[in-house]
Amino acid sequence: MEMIQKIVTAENLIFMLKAAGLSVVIATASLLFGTILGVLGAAAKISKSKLLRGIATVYVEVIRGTPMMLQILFFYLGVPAIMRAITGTPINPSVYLIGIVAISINSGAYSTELIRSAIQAVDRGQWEASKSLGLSYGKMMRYIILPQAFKRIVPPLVSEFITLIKDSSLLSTIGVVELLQSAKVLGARFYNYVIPLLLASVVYLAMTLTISHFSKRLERRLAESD
Amino acid sequence: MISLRHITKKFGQLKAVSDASLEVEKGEIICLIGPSGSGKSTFLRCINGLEEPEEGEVYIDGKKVDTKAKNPKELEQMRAKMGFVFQHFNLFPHRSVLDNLTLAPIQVLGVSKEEAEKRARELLARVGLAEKADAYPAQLSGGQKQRVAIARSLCMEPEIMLFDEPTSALDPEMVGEVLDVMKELARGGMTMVLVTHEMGFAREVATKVLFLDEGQILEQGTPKDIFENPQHPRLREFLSKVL
Repeated sequence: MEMIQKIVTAENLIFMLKAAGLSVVIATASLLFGTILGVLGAAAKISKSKLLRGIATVYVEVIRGTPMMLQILFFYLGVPAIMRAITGTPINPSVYLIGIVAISINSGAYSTELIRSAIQAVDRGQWEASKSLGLSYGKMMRYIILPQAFKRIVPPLVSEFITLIKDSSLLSTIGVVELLQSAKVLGARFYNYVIPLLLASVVYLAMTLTISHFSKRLERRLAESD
Repeated sequence: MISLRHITKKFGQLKAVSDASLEVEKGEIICLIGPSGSGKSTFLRCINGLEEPEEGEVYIDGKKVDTKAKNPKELEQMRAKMGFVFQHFNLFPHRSVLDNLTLAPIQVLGVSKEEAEKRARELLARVGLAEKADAYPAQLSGGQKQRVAIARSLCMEPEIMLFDEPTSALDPEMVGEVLDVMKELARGGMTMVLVTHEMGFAREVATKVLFLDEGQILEQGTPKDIFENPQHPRLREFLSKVL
């Protein structure tokens, strides 16, 4: 009881909520950059160029086939070392930047497949009707295919956002004070991990459940316009 | 105006169309008939490049069509001059009926929005659907969808209309309304090539009928020749089943 009173103070709660805010910022930025990478990746995957398709396939398979933890460590430990070897000067990028880059690249691989499959799921008749009206490839994509693919892209992108919020906790290992790391910091300070970890769980759940609630409403709205 | 010469199209090992040729002159109404899987639709789709034949050439107004898409612009311009009506309509479900009609004229022909809408409304009135301009495709019946699809093609002011089994996906009571629109087009002098199972329509409207079986054109002639005096045994057998 005494322990709860010691740990659950306004000051500590604000500390954790700020860290939760950082988790959301990292997840949002990574979702945004990851989606951009995903659009490019999907475009490469459905292009006629063998080279582009090959590059996209290697990207997707390498990222999906290796642990995210390894990817983060690679950007944290590996990339600066490589850069130093090439340029000769030590570089020290911020762990936030490293974290966002690593998670964006990871998310981009998943988004690539998600966006590609949504585009290819648009009925073949829609492609044929567009072509038969003389629309160019670009205009067909812009006016006919992508708007219809979009509906299928949004719901899985929202669940990708939830995944990213949880996965951003991996950045605690490289010293980013996001939500999980804030719990670890409090745990170390008070020699009690149970309460901070439970608090962190509650905050994670509050975030993920809120997002999935809105996601369900959004899905219903998208389904209505069919 | 259109000439298909010795077209062969394979799907894997299967020859869907085998050495088939066709000349279409302005004002002609050509019906392709034959059993399912005889290659009629594939042959029709070769005309506007929805299928790329392995062998043979397509000429439009004496000019060879490059379906290998080295020059996509050329293919796009060619398609813009041909209307294509699909069995399953393929209206754009996320756009209103009016938008379905005006999209291509605005984006491909560069017509102004006002002009495109004016023309679209005229065409919708012509197919009897003036009041449906603001509806979405999902709110229409099959027959209405197909009439909108025909109007959508006509909005491009095509020189020729291609129909791929336009009434096959319709409930029987809706076939008539679509055929009526097509008959009116025919009376207006539109050049048309149709794949159809509507023998009555072919008999009444066609200037030439082609019978295909297993990818080959086995017989062609006027509706009178084909329906009243069929020569090839496969055609006789086919007609005895469908008439």
